[in-house]
Amino acid sequence: MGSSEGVILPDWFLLKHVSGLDFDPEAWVGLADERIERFSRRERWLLRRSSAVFEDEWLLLVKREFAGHVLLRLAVSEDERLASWLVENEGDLFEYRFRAALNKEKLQVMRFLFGKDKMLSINDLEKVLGEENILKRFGLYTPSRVRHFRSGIEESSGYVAIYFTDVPDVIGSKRALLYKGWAIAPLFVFFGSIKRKFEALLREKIKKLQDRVAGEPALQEKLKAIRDKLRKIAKKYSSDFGFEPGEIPSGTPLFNRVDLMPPCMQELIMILSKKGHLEHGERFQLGLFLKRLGMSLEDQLRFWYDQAVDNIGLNYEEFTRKVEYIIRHLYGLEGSKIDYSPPKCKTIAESYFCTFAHKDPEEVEKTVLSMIRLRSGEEKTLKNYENFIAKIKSDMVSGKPVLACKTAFHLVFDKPLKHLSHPLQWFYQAAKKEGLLEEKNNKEK
Amino acid sequence: MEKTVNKEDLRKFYESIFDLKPLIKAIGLTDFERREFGFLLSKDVFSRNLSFKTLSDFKNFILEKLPLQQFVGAVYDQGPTFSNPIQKLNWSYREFIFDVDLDAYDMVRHCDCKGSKQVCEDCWSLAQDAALFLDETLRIDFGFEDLIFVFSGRRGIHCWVRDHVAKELDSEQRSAIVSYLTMITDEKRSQKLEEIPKYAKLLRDRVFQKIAKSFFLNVSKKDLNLLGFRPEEAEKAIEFVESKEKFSPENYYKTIPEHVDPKRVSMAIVLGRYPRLDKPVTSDIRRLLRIPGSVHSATGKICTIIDSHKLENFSPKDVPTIWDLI
Ligand SMILES: [Zn+2]
Repeated sequence: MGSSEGVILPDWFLLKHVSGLDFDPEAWVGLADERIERFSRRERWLLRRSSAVFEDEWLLLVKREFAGHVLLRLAVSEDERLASWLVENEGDLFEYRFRAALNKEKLQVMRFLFGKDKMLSINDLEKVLGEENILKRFGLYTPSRVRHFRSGIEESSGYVAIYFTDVPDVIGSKRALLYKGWAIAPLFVFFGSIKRKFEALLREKIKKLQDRVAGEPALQEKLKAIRDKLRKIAKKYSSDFGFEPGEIPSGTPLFNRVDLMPPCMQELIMILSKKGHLEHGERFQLGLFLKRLGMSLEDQLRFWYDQAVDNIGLNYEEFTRKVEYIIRHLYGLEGSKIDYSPPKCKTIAESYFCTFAHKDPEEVEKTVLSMIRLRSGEEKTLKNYENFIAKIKSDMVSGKPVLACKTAFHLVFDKPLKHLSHPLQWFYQAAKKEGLLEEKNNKEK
Repeated sequence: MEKTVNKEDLRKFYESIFDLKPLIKAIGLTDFERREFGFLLSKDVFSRNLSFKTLSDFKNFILEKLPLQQFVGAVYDQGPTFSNPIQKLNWSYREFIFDVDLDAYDMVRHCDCKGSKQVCEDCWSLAQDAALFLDETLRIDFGFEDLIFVFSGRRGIHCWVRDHVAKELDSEQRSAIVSYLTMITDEKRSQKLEEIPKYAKLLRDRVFQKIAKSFFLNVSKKDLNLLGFRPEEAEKAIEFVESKEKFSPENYYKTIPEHVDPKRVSMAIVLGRYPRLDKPVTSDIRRLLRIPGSVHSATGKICTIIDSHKLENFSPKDVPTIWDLI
């Protein structure tokens, strides 16, 4: 099927141009509806042609997929919240398909996303720079480095070079070798950047549709049912988090900022580094939280592997069996293939680990002090410290863990926290206080 | 009592001494009329959102207002004015800026310069190390070529990257680059250290070549003892480093005795001498920066472009003050 700028793109890649797609909103409503259903079940599916399928049948299948997708783009174009919902779901689906793709397809998609002159094979990089043996010269050809993780390694351990302007998150976290402006690393290191780029391009495409939809009342009428349905889903979705997701800026890897995390997550990380492992539920709680902060599957595997191996001498096979499976599970790549969202405070207090629901009130001061120390490097005296601690303890005793947590935020960050129903809210407010995230005010339209 | 710059000094300076060439070297002449300027007009009157059609308009403004401090910002789609401020304009581009200020080293400066206006040779060597490290990293790791370094007039160095790609970097890209270069955060309080990077190999090697070398050339034997070096080992290590014209990561590993914890040493090296960059200055694309060639009114010193080959020999002591010149 279609090609773009000489790059032949795989059929599962929804940013490619599909020819022969006659715009027919009435016929497409059902397809869009089906897509919403699958997304709200957090379902991820591949679009792969098996040899038994005839060309005609296949083309029809591909067109139906695109039709459903394109109609959703139109339906969300005027509502930023709906657009965020769609971009995140399509982004996750894209990531799922990208991981499953052949190496050749991966490279084609990357060439399209970054542009042919900004994404090079190492051979081409050597030609562009007029230099030889770049990998060897920098001691990079070390397959043992990636041997640890089975996940698609055979396909993606090959090195590629991407120009630094397109991969700020990889640059900022020093995860690639950087030479003359080129970030050189195994392909999997760029997975996060690739997904972000996809999402940014999709967002752009949606934005361009705004005027078209606004100028066509007839079309708006046809989209109405789909929109109403989306609104219901998106409303539930954003009230889970209290903010619009998909807004984590790359550049500064936020998941490294333990000091900005809520007490429960800080404690889980501490327990993990002491004991080398966590209980199943706690692993789930921390793993999903880190995932939501933008930590890629590979980074998580490295994180858990480092903690486990440094402490209890777990060997790699055991690690794979006991931990890797579960982490991959969190990313919807194993088992039920459900891509989970991190649990809310209420759920955490009921069935996971909440500092203020599960610790002894007399022990909690230690936790708070260690948070203050992590932030300021010393156990300094904060304003009204005694009053805050007394309030935290009394909230705990009267069974109000979330209230206690809000008070702890107020103490540690010297700023009251308006809403708290999800651990990510704590983190977002803390990051805003640090100036790492921008306060969202009167968004420009 | 320290001298302060007064309006009469400034009048003399602006009338006959003030040179526009350093400014032009930094920002060029294209799009001059769309460039934002800002001035400290008197002790508590700061004015920004100013632009000038021509260089002589700019010069006339200076002569008329005799500003205490002068700053330059980004280029917009139109020249900013009071009624058409930068918030309403579209940002076009801005040189890519780094700021090294010795303030950030207060917790590791061993001299008595803390909080005062003076700088001594000891602490100036920290700023020099940072500038040399920055210069090499920006050229080799990022491929930038058009760099100038400027003495800020007090106790810092600014680096202006003028390559076309650099001028158009957005704030996210700029902060990614400054994160790449950062190994110490919260440097004025807890001084959190990052691990020496594993994958950014050139950066890693540079830490061991440049920063480690400079550490051993500046460290006292007593401090090495505290890190676990025996007295004779400390002496040997320092002599060894002094004897190497070119210091390599391999040399570095040879410098550390077997019984000493290498991680403790590398942390001490980073903590003591690794560059401390002012992040907001780099990531804020609308920031105003002191104009090269202007006077720093707190010290009276001229904000001076440093010849890139002379970074190592440059000393703020040699920079003239406004009173030397008028
Ligand atoms: Zn000093």
